[in-house]
Amino acid sequence: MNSSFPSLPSFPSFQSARLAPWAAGTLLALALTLPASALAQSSSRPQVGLQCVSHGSGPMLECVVDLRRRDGSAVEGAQVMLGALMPSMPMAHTIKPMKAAPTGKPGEYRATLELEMLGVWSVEVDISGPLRDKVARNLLVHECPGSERCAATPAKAGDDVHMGRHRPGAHGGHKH
Amino acid sequence: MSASWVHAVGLASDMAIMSLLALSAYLLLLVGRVSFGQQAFFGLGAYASGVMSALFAWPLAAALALGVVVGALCSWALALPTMRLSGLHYAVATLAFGEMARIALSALHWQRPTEDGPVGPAGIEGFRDIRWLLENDVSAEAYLLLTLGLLAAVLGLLMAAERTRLGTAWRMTGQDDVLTAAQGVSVARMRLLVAALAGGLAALGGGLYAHRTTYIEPALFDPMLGVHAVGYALLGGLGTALGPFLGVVIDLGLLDAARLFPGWRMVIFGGLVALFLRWRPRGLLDEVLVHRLGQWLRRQPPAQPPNPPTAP
Amino acid sequence: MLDVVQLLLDGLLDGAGYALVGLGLSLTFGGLKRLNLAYGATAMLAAYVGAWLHIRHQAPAWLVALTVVASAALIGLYVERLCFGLPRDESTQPRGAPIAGADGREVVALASSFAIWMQLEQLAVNLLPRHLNAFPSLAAEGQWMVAMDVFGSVSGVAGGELMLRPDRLALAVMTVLLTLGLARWLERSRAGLAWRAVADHRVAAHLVGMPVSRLQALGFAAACALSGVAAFAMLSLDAQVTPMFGMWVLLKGLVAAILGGLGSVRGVLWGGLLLGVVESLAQSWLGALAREFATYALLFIVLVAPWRASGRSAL
Repeated sequence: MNSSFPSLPSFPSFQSARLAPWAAGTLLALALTLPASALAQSSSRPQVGLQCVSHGSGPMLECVVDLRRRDGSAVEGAQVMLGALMPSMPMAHTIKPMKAAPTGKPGEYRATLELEMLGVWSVEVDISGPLRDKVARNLLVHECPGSERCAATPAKAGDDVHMGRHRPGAHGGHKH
Repeated sequence: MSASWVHAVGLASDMAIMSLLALSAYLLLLVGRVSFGQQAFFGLGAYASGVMSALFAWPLAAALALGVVVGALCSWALALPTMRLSGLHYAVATLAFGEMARIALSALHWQRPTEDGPVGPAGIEGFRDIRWLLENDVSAEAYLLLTLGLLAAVLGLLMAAERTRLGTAWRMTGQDDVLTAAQGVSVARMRLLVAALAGGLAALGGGLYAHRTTYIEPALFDPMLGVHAVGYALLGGLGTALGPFLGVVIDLGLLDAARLFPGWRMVIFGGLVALFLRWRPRGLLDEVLVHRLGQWLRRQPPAQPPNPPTAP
Repeated sequence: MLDVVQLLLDGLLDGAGYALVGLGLSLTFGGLKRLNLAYGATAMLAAYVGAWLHIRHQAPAWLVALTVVASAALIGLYVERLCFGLPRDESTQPRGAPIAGADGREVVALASSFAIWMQLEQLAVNLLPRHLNAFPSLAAEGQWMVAMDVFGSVSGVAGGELMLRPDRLALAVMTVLLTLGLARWLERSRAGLAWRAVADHRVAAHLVGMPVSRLQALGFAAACALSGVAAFAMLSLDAQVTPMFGMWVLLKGLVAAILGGLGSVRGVLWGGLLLGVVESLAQSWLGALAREFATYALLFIVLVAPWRASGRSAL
């Protein structure tokens, strides 16, 4: 069977006129991102502490971010934005990101996120200002009855797996 | 910089990235195959690009390019044994492969020590600190421009390819493979080529995603992601490369972000896809509509009878 | 040696569960020649309805069981009307189906069933938003320790004890009985004959006066009711249900059904047992991740195996 690949013929002029802006735009955008300077690998990353509590139905997640430099001094005046996404369905359940306001204590910022579901959420802390960084922590958001506040615990990797049927007790016959 | 602006920029980036994944499912639908495994190439591309940029300090363009190559190669390798399967078995095989890839990524440990702690894929815990954009001070807006530019380039290339013999050939393969083979086109090689393209596209989306969020984990690449990609292609339309993009806009834009039916998004979306498959199987932007739109855009008069040849 | 026997035993017991889960899926394929991807979500939504009854209204276990099975049947009816009610002949096929080819309509039905899968999952999660939901527990309190001294004295291998949970043994026995009984019923009874006739040749069945559409709907609903039975059985041993249950049911059931040959009722039993044993061995050799991987690898290998006679496209 004669099966050479059909080759692309030369484009008629009106087609290339339509393609050109796209090509140019791509090249321009690509050029923006090629690094102008060498890769900076200094340890200027802040240490980010994240404590969250959930309350109400929704649920609402109130998070306090603690920013410190390597030497322990608090980072003040930073622009902190908190966001969240669900690892099991990454581009759905879009949560409006919230700007975290300084609480008064140096280096601390607080914001409340309106979540859609309970379960494992990846809370993103987006820091700009004097330092720029982005940190994501996985938290298991529990249901909190009434007007209480429950801490959201750090989620371990196995919290969201499929129904694991290999419970250790069932295979207790191993004598290792 | 207000939270709403950040939200909008993030949403637009997500839509562009998801469109790339939807386009990859769309390409395979064009050659007549439903694939529930495209999320595997998305994940492989994400990990490959992330590893290159975070562990080996490659520039973004090179890391993305490598991700694309990895995705294309793996997709082509998967297509070799599976393309001869019937559509039903192919769908299940790609689903199985998608899960195999996800589990393999859960077992991947490849870390390098740096000043800020180890960096690299840490198995089931995921891959943190893909910080190329942060270290090179690329703003979210600039990255959105890059993502949109890449999407526009891909869309342009695909739409241009539709007018060539190649594009016609791969559409034919999906409609009737026996007839296509009778025309002299190798159906198997066409499917392999399209599979490689689809894998590369999905991997491109994955690489862009990894750098945008700086953190990826294997749990992200579960079958629901691939199922959604196919859904976007089927809903938006198989007539043009803009179809999957439309599907993404409808789901992520209208249903999700605009909170049109909060808490019922998947119910509406799933219902729409099922209804469309019953009454308008080629989706919203099907070939007929695209043809009519094309005519209207070009304001073509109705076809005239050919002029009689003038005598020399 | 005893460890291996224990492994095999655990694998077989797990496998019986997978076979039960895959039974309904295999039946729908056998009857309709179409794969119902909404199967797992059907079972999950039915289980969630049962869990809701249990949590909100403290319903007893038998009522929950009935509800789960009935809900599964009803949901199955909905799925069937929406996705699989498509006529199979050319003349009424909508113009330009997304997938052409010999099994085009089957793939279209598969595609629309995955859309319903999304719907049903969302409905379930809307009903019970928590991650862990209580389910009536029928789990056994303790384990049986089966002394293997007799075995040891016969073969010269050191004796010991095997651990055996009586509830899982009961599940396995029920599965075997149900599967074999169902296979026999399909072969011997008039209703089974009707089902097989419709599956075999729709037009001929219609010509002899069978209400084909109604039979298909009934059969589909019955198969989904089986999924409800499986869901109740598995979940009552676990005493909880999570949103991951739907995907688990679909994947395990799919593997068991395909391993045994889609459409074959006895095959599902063998397929499930094989899957259980392979998983058990994989876990003991290479760990928990290998267990999951082995499931899909087995499925993949069986699908792409070069010696498969069926399932090939023309080109």
